[in-house]
Amino acid sequence: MAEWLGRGLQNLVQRFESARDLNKNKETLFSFFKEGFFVFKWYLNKILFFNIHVLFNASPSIPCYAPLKIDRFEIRGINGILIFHWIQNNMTVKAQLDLNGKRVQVEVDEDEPLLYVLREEFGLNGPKFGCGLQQCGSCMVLVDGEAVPSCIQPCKSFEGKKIETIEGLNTINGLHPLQEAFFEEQAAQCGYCLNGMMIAGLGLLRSNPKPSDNEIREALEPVICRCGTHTRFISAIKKASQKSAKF
Amino acid sequence: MKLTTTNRRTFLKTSGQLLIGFNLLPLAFCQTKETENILIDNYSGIPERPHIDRNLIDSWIRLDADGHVTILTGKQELGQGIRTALIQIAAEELDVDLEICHIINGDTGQTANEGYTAGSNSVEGSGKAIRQAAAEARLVLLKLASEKWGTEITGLQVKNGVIQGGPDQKISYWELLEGKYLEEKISSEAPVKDHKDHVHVGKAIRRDDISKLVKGEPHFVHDLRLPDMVHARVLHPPVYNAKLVSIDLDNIKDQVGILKVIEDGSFVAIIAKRDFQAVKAWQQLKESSKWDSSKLGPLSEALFEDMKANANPPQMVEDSPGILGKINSSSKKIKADYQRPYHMHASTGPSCAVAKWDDDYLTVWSPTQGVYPLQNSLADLFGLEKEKIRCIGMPGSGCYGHNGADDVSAEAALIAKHYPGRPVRLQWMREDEHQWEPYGSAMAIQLEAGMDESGKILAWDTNIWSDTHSTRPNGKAGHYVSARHLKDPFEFQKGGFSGGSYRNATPLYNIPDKRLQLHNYDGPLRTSALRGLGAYGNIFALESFMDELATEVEIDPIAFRIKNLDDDRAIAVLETLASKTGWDSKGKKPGKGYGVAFSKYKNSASYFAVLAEVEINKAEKSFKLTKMTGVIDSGQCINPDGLKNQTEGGMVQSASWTLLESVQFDENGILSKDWSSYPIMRFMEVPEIEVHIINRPELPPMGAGEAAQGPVAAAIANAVFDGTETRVRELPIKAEKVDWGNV
Ligand code: FES
Ligand code: FES
Repeated sequence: MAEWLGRGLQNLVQRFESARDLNKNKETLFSFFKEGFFVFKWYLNKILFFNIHVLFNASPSIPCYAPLKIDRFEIRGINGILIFHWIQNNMTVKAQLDLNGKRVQVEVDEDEPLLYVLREEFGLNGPKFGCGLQQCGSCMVLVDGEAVPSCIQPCKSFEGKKIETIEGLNTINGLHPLQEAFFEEQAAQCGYCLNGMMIAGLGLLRSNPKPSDNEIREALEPVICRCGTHTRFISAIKKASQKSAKF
Repeated sequence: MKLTTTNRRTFLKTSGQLLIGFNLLPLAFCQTKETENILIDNYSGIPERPHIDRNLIDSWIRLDADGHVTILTGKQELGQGIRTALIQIAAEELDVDLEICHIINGDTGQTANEGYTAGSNSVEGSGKAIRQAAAEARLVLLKLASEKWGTEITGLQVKNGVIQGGPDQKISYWELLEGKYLEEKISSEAPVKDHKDHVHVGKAIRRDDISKLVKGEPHFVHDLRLPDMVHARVLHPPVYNAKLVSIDLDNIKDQVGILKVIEDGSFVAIIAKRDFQAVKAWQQLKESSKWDSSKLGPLSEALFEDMKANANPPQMVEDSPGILGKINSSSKKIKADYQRPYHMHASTGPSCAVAKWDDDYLTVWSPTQGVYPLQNSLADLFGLEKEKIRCIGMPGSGCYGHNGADDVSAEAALIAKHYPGRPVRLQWMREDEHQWEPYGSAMAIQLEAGMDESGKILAWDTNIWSDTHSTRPNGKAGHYVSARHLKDPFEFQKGGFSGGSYRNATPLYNIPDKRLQLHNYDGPLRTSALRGLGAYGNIFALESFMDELATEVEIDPIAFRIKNLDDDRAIAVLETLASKTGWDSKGKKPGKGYGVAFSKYKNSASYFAVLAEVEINKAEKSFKLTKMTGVIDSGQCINPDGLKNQTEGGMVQSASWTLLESVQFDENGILSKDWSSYPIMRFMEVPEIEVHIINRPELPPMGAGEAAQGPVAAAIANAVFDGTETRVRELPIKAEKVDWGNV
């Protein structure tokens, strides 16, 4: 919930910024009025008032939407105002994702590929934009244990699947054997491709914990590395396979 | 109603109906990943302050935070591991542990001006300055301690920043300084350590940034998430010099999330709330835009002919009167023509930058190779005093020279100008990168030489045809592509051709008569610095030609090179290569080809020799590069694993250029727009790689990052010749260029 509200607030800030602009720029008013705000003011942990502001519609041809239903929420802190805003937009979809072992929910443009959602909604850095064409592997994530690109497939299509990124590998005791191996082999130059290499490697090790050199090469083939760090990636995956029996 | 608070970070403005403010919000609701990631560099031990004078210790070494050392460099981390190497150098001279050292890369608000991070000279340049500053800092601190205790400096010892005198005399650097800065001048008299006493330098210290990368921690400019940041895309024309005729902006303006559409001449961009909204709008803009463009040419087929016909009159770089007569009167003489096509930097991640305007102050977070040159060029672009522009260098995807990094930074600043007060993040699309980066220039190289019967080279003549290898925007806005597309455009002035074209063209071999002529050529494509500049093509030609000469006199190619060399270090890399690879026992084997090549990069930096091995498959009319072994001498080696890593990378990259790459274009524009139309080497084709280092700790360190590019190309050509008897003189070396009937 906190995450959800945090995001809402960020959007809100942007909305208000654009509202300032809107006064100059009337054409974009429409999208603005498709939304409204919950306003809470609280003082010493007590809610003083709770208000709904629906921003009225300037144009009768655009329907005014009801706010989303919010079941439960928490407010911490001593005093202040919280405003939670909603957007009603017929192009957005809600998606429930299983991301690094947590159930999360997002509401995004129905076409929005998973990659953008992972980076922007969940602040992940592992998956990266490289080509947006499923040619380079920078954006790889593990989906039900298999390494796949995330730069084209809409977010919604990943519902019901287990999504893992390298951020999910960190264990409480420190690095995952694969992370350890990449670090020990110093397998990176600029490191932009590292995510793709690790995910492609992990996908392989899950199904084949003791791969041959050639199997490693085949598994990493979809991932581009312009720095030419290839041989170190191969050694790193070999090393990981020696460190652990299961991935 | 306005709530004022002491520690709020975000100001919210009025919307007309609501007047709002926040406090405690970060505490209550913003504990999400997004806000944690705002700070990329989590060490904030020292407050930011500008550097004053590069002759002061404080410009390089700071001991502001208790128990920490901060090193400042004007150079950028490009994936070459410069941060770790510079920390090793500083820690060595200061006698401190590596763990307490931190480094700040190029930032016009903090670091000295060290120009561009290019030409493999960061360790030679910045490393030297940092070494001196650190040695000076140590001396200053020792003097302070000796004054305090009234003892001689010679009796003092330092261990991890703690100075020890007599039995109960012990004080740390930080206690001594009591918060003062190290403002002393660098006298260059402070003694630097003898290499025999080194504990950090020369060790394979692991790069700490890799431990962050494997966890997916923010690192790249791409990962920068500033509060209130918005996202942009720029619509580049379909081809150079195209003019915008019409575009449907109205449709875009109404779309969800679009904050601004910018049209300034032929420069079109959008700003959106979310990255993907910008991408979607970019796609639509692209489809709705109409352009007026002129034809591109000459095309690939006619390019090299055109070069020779239409280049400028030759520039005599090195003259030797009567050289052709000398060649002609030699008992053995040959002549050959070589070519290399246009190559791309083709960074894995597209260029990205963030810019923000506050009134008329501009901040740019950029993956540029030079923050000060960027500041100069932005000052020109906006007609602004330099002091109002701050450029903060951030790691980008590996660039290998002048790629899109500077262009994207300028474009982000142009776009952000239309949306002041908010950080604007611009990321290029893949096709922007492939089409708009400046390429490594195509080149033609003609070589002619004469030898005596014994294989001693007597005279050598070189002619080079090439477009420029440097159009870095050092103070000139016209070097930014988008600045040329504005309503009030900046003009691109090539500013003369650079020496980059003939880099390494003069043979290091001991040849009495040498001539070198350069024919500068204005080619059809945008070009600039790509790893090694002209050295890649020149060494490919020179070292292929050396093999041709060796074949002519039937001498073993390594022996032939050594015969014509009198540089001991050059001979040493070749001899080491021979011994490490068992060269003498390789001989001629059916189905195999071996090729060697050598160079001293820039004739002034690292020595590098390489053996390439190919496997020939006559039935399938193909060959495969199976192994490359390199030997490098970069003088004093700061970090052997870092040096190896970079050299291995250079070898694979050069093998990819040499075997696979060539920018494709037709009269309507660039055709190599993505990874399938511009394939580069992937895992199945990557050969086995081995690198050996000759460490010379008693000598100064020398640039190494570009040492492998040229020799690898020639070694592969020589190996293909050895295995197939076909001499391929036109890159890339593809199987179809081999005369299979002859194999
Ligand atoms: S970004 Fe997805 S494959 Fe390149
Ligand atoms: S390490 Fe730079 S792209 Fe692979």
